[in-house]
Amino acid sequence: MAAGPYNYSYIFKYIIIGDMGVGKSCLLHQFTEKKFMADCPHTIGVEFGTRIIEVSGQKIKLQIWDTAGQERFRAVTRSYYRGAAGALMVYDITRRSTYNHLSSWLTDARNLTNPNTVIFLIGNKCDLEAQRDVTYEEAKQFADENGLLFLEASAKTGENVEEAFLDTARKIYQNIQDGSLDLNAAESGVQHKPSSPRGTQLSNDQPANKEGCAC
Amino acid sequence: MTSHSQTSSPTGIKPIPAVHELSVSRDTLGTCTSITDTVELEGSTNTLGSSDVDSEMNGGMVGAMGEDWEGSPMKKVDRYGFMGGSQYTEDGPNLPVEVARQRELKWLDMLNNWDRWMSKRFKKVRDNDISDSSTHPIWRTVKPHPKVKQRCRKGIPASLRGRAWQYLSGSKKYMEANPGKFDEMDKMAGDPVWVEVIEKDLHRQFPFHEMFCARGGHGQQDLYRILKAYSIYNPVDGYCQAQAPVAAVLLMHMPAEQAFWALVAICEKYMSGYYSSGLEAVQIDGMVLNGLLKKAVPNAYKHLNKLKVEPILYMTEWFMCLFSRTLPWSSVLRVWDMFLCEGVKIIFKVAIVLLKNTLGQPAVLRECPGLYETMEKLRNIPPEVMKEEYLSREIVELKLGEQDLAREHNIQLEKWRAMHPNDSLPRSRAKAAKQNGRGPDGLDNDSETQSQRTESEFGRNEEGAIGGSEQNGTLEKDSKKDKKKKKDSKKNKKGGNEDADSVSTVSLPEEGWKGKWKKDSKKEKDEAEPEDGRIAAEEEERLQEDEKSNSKKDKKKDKKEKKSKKDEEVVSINEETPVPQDTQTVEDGTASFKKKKDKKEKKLKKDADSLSQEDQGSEGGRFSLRKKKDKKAKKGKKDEDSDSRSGMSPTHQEKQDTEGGRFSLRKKKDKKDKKAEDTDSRSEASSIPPETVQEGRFSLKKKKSTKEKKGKKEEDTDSRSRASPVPSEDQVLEDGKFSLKGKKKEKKRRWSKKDKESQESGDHLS
Repeated sequence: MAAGPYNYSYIFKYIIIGDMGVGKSCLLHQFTEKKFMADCPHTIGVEFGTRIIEVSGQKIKLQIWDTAGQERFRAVTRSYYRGAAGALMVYDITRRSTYNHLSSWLTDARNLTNPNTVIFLIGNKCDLEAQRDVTYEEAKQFADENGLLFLEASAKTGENVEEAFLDTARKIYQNIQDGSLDLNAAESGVQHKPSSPRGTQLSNDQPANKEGCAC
Repeated sequence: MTSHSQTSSPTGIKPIPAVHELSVSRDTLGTCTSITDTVELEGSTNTLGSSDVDSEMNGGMVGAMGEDWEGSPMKKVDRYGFMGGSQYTEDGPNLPVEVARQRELKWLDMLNNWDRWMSKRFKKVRDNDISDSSTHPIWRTVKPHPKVKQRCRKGIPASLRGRAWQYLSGSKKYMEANPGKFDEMDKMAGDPVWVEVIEKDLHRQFPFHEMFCARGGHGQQDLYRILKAYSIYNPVDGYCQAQAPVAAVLLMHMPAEQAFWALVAICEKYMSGYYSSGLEAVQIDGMVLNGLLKKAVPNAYKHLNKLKVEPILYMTEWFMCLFSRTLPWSSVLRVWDMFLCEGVKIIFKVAIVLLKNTLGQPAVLRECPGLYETMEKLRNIPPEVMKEEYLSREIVELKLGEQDLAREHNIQLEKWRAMHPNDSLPRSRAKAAKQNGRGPDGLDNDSETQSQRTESEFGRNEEGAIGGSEQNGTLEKDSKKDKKKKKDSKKNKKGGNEDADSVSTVSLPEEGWKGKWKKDSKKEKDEAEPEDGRIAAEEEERLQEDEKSNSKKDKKKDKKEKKSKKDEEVVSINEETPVPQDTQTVEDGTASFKKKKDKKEKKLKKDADSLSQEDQGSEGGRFSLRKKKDKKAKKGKKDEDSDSRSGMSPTHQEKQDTEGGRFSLRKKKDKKDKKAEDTDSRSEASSIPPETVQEGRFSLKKKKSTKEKKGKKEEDTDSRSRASPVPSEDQVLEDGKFSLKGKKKEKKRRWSKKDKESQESGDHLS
């Protein structure tokens, strides 16, 4: 793996957080597999997903960490936040309680990631319009107040799922371009990889910080 | 998926083999019509644990089964009830029918006579097994013979698994002690908070399993019932999502009520504190795992640490779900067989084996330059590593003693405390440490204190639901154990002090460790004493009886003893038991550590004498008493003899681990050389190939053993058997600390001299 050429230029680390049962794992599954998993097992600890996307002509590999939602797992999942470039914060539009808990999730996200981490709010299950419990407007307002990107999405239909993940990546990339995100900063959540083949010297733990050597 | 279940035809479907005997909710299960025939076929053949269903039948469909259930072609149900998914098991070679049947018969006999079987051999078991898994709290109620452990390691026959698990975990006793309790909780409404969460999770447990595939089907209903009941039973912890897969596995093997009590046993005893809020227990065990990894697989440890891959990143699901979502199903069951028998250390062992085989090779590590790659590797463990036979063998071969675990746990606990100064020691953790036998006081000897502790704990949860079982239903074994203990402590008081004392001091591998532990366990001791008094009268009676019979038998034994090399070996095995036992003395609260030391000094000479002549043990020390008993036990029928020997080999090995505090090789090797008569013992002994040795420590021991082998074999055995208790005692006297590396050699030499002398007569005879 280390010996082969990278077919992407950047690696972004994402985390998905939010209450249990809001559809975090399903969003991930929909994004990586383009399928809806009805009986997706609940996450214990952490799950992973990877997908390579393209933003402004740059190939970017997303490493997505999907966390357990139950409250008691937060003590454990907090250690996953470290070094995330993007955080997808999910609530369920049919359950107000999941929306009400957003502020505590946001606090965690802000405290445990770096200041440049892009936080994207996703109101999931928007296909269940009939059972809606949280309006678009109030969520939008919450997002604006807190400087979050926001979309309502449906892991079941796939609506807005791509957009949420891609918009986050665009925002991160934009931050890199305008220099507000320092790639060399520790735990920026972004690794820069050369597209050209490169040897095994990558056996380094922090390849991101060594980007200069081959660019 | 739901459509499948709707078309189900419950009639004529045989239960999954694994649950054959306890086919409660299964007959009514929703199972797909199209697979009925094959299921039937499997059900019938698998009773013997050996289905030879034509593997071609589904050969073509295997690859087609994607991750996603819907839209995928349907497979026939595998032998475990899975219809697809990552845990689907292909038909493979099975155990020969005769072997399977033989095992079934053995297990049937064992289960049908569980109490009798256990009580018959109880003393012997206790003595032999003390440093071993017996230290696990589950032994508080159930005390399996080493043979049981061995059989669990080979895998419980599928048809008896459900029953066996209940016996092993002690959940059967719980249930019997709490008649109607489950029904009562079943009828209660339950906290809406938990109920809501539980309901959300019902359809997410093993959705590819025939039992749980149907929404609202019987499997899911039962799952709801037992999870809700548990949240009522333990309202403090309520429901943790990781409990659901555990409960589901249990439900695959037993009816709801039984599964509930088994869940209680696992959550309260085996994995105490794991499912409570905060998950401190898991986090601490992550640290413990890391510490163990450092010794067992140093390169993987370094790699993980360098990349800051915290254990919590990869072990949470492993531990909390007891590998039920990680391993292929046949391996899950084998791991559970061992886990329910030997306790939580099996979970650590599995984790180490997986890490070793996934990250042990430098080449692999080079492929994982970063945290994410490493994590991906750990999420995709090579399938061959997880295969039932390979994994089971690796688990058995990996030496990890209870005390290794205990020590590591204490180290990490200190670190945890330092890191979380404001938290008082995690509530659940404190008890877990003690109960699980990770804490030194988890040793078997404190069973009295344990039962007391548990009473109060359970009292906290539910009006002593379990506390009740402890006191009323509690297994006579428990009380016997207590009595035995008391007996021991009395003996010590009477006059065998020297022996017992010396033994007890010896067993402390590290004083610091002990000191710490002593502080912690002071409370428990205090609690324990009154109980001592309670049974005192009874105890005395028994004591006298025992002494009589013992002394008689002892004399006979002494003669016999020298007759054969075999016997020598047995003795040597037994003599090592004292090492862990001394902790017991301490726990009994009868003597303070310092006092013992003084006494020890005085009696040192005496001890030495008594040790050089095994007969002298009869002078009454607890140690010698035990020794005799063991001998007695061994000298029974010949085949019993070999039985016990073979059964003991694992025990023996583990004791050594404990004694050395490290994964020890030496004695095993010797043993291997000497014995190969019994298949069982052979397999146990040979299960420690030199490759297992990974570290400097091990190699030190290895060298020693080679040296020792040069001498006479008998001498070897002797010196070994005696060396362990006495010299370490010496050491304690000398510097108050037990330094394993430096002094062992000296010790050995000294003692082998004595042995030579004492051995001469024995040599003639043999």
